[in-house]
Amino acid sequence: MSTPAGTVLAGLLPAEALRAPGDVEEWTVGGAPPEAVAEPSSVEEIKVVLAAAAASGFSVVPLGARTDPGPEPPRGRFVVLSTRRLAGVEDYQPADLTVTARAGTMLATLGGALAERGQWLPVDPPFTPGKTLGGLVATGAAGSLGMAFGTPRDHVLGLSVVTGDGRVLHLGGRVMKNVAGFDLVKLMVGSRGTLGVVVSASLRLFPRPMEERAVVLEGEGPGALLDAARRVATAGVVPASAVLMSPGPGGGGSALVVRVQGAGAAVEADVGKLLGPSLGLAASLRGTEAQRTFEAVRDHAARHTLVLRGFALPGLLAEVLSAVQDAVPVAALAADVMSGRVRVGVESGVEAASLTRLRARLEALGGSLVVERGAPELLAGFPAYGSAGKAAELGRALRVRFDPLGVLSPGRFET
Amino acid sequence: MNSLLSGSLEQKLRGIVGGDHVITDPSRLLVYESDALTGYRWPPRAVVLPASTAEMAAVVRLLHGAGIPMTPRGAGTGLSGGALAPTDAVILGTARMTRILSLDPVNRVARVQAGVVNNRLSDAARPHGLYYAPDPSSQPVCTLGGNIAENAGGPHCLKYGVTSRYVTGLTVVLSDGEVVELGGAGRDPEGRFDLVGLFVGSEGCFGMATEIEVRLLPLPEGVRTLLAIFATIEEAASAVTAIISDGLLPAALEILDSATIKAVEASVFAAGYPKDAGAVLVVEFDGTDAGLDADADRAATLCQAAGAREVRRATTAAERAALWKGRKVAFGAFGRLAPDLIVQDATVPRTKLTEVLHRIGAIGEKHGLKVANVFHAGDGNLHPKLTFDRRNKEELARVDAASKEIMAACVAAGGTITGEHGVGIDKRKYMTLVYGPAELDAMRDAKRVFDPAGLMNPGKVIPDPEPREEP
Repeated sequence: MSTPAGTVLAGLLPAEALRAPGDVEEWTVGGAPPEAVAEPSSVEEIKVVLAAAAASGFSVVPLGARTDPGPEPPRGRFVVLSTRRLAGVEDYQPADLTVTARAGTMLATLGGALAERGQWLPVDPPFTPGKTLGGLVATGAAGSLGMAFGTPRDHVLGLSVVTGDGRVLHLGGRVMKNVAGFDLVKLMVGSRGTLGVVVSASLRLFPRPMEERAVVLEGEGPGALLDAARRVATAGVVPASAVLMSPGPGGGGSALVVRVQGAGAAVEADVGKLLGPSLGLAASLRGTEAQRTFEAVRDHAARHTLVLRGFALPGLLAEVLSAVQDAVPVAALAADVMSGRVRVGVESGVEAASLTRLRARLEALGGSLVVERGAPELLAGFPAYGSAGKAAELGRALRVRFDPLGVLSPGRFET
Repeated sequence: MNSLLSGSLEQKLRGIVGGDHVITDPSRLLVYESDALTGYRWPPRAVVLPASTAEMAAVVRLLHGAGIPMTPRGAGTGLSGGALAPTDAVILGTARMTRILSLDPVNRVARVQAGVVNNRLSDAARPHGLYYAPDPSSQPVCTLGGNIAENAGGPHCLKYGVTSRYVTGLTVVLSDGEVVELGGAGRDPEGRFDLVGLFVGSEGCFGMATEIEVRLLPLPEGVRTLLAIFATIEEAASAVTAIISDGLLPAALEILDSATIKAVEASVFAAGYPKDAGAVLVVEFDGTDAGLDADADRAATLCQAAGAREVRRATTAAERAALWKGRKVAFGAFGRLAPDLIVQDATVPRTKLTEVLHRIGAIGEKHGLKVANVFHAGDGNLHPKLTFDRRNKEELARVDAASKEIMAACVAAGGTITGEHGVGIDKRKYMTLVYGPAELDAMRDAKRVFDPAGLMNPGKVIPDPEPREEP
């Protein structure tokens, strides 16, 4: 019998860098409990965890606040590396529109510091304030603001990471434009803990909009609102986001929610165009009411035990919605009209075969289907990410280069 | 002298692309011996001009089989020597790959061959109310293939970001001739490695991009342009900081210094800037028309508060063009002042602009060189220009020394050695200013994954590894 990972790490890390054994149950990944949860507070301690894993035959799954731990169970014995104690803003330069913070910094904390200076990081994946910066970077998760502002891939200017074999890399920088060398920052963002552990990140920021409105049109089903959604694109308005959601923010029917931002006169003009006779959007919400609506748009489909993410060109939204409705019992749905991303919260009782058929239909449309969250039994019969051909082969080769000992998140992108 | 290619190889290449599209005649190869970085002249072994992905793949497979290195090349407007063919490499040109393959106004994506010129795509998109956002100064001639190799920027990056934000998919020929599809606008960009993002900016070292899928943006409803005239560069820079700190997000913030203004006004490109001005600042806003006058008023007030002696405003396209004219011709205007010009490129944190400009001025003075500055002030991207005569070897050495010190000064201020022109051959020697051995090794690793044979654009971007000391 090999020594339990917790025992190995207890001999190497200070007591405060290891969670009590009773705590590990809540840190399951894809239904599998870790042998231990390490909470390093320095690069050195991260290297200790990675080296111990390589030497003792267990693997390491880096996690932030667990809002999106991924659905796949790690292969074999593993520990979780939590970045909770690697937190704090290191350098905030409002006049440069840049900030550098450690991976475990909560986005709520970061957002608060930025708001004090009239700035923000325009990202809104599900559960945004409760995510860590490291989690945002590692997942590369975009929300409905992605088309208007860019995604984490566009916002991250630089990163410090520890590779699987313990090399510390300082990639990119803290300036807006940087083409010195190959863009390994892009490779790291969205690599979900398979290439390295994110230690800190530098980001570009934006001025907060002077004003925001939620322009809402309610309807029976999402299909009934598709026409209105299409007209938003041609109304001469460039919204911050436009999402078709079902149920609507009030809990029933469906709604098209358009987020409009800017200075006073521009917002009034845009809202006017959206509410005008050609579009007929019904209500314009402001203040807390608007913010609550945006939160519903952001989170409501991701709150279910099975969460799917379909994707296709936005012009194919009608086809995607009917494919989804044919395949699964939809409990909640949020379709980003601008990017074509459709997040679906599903009732239980779905067979792998239905998902296989749905994936085939979306792929036939040139799109894709990913499982964001789901029961391990279901995922045993349905790969969470699907195949990506030669690109997947290149991805595996990159993993070997950055994690030659196969210590980081084995099983990720594989099932 | 006959062709540097073996007779049978040359024949096979001609068989793939057609007889006229393999260039081996030394007099015709002269065109390809340098790019817009004129300090280097490296004649290639041959130039091959395929017309399609299939032809490119066949050419690359053949060259791979013969162990011949390859250098991708677009329009040759690069400023870092990235498109020069080292050590007997064959140039893979995109001059015949000029088709816009599709333009989808509903989904706002276009798919083009790598040789399509940047402006041509926007021209084709405009009737649909769309345009392609990244706008490097060379956009009337530079190709999208070159833009993705360099991750090109332009004046409007402050609001809109650089090329990588707009590239959604690539068809790439790897060094062994395999054709690979990366990304795609209909494919979920999350949940897999961002190989498109990694490929963009790889300066031809990872493979040959043959088809490029990009996102288009709706044309802004309105545009307002201001030109503020200042007595000093410090005032102009403080106006930029004031505008950003006020929460405004202009589409562009460009500064020209007094040396550049004088050069522009003395040239045939005269733009009507006051010759005695210390700096001019171009500020542009775009978006929903209704909000733009308020933004422009606010920016004008902030410029005046920062000391602007005059603020000119443009609303019509013709007036805008007049205000932009001096910025657009700033490089060309130096042609009459000296035989040679180096346009440097570096980025610093915006708040360090004034400090770094002083430092650059002092470096120029120390080496007895004239330095003029044009820069994307909004994102801290500097373009110091050094004029010289390369026939004067002693002066050339001073230019090299000054360039190196300028790079070191930008890095010391928290910046980097290139914001948009790339590393190429020119800046390999500066890579160690920003990266240590671990980062450079990681970059070499990434290249090996795409190009295990090491045949794609060798000798570029990453410096040769330090020789290991024997234990």
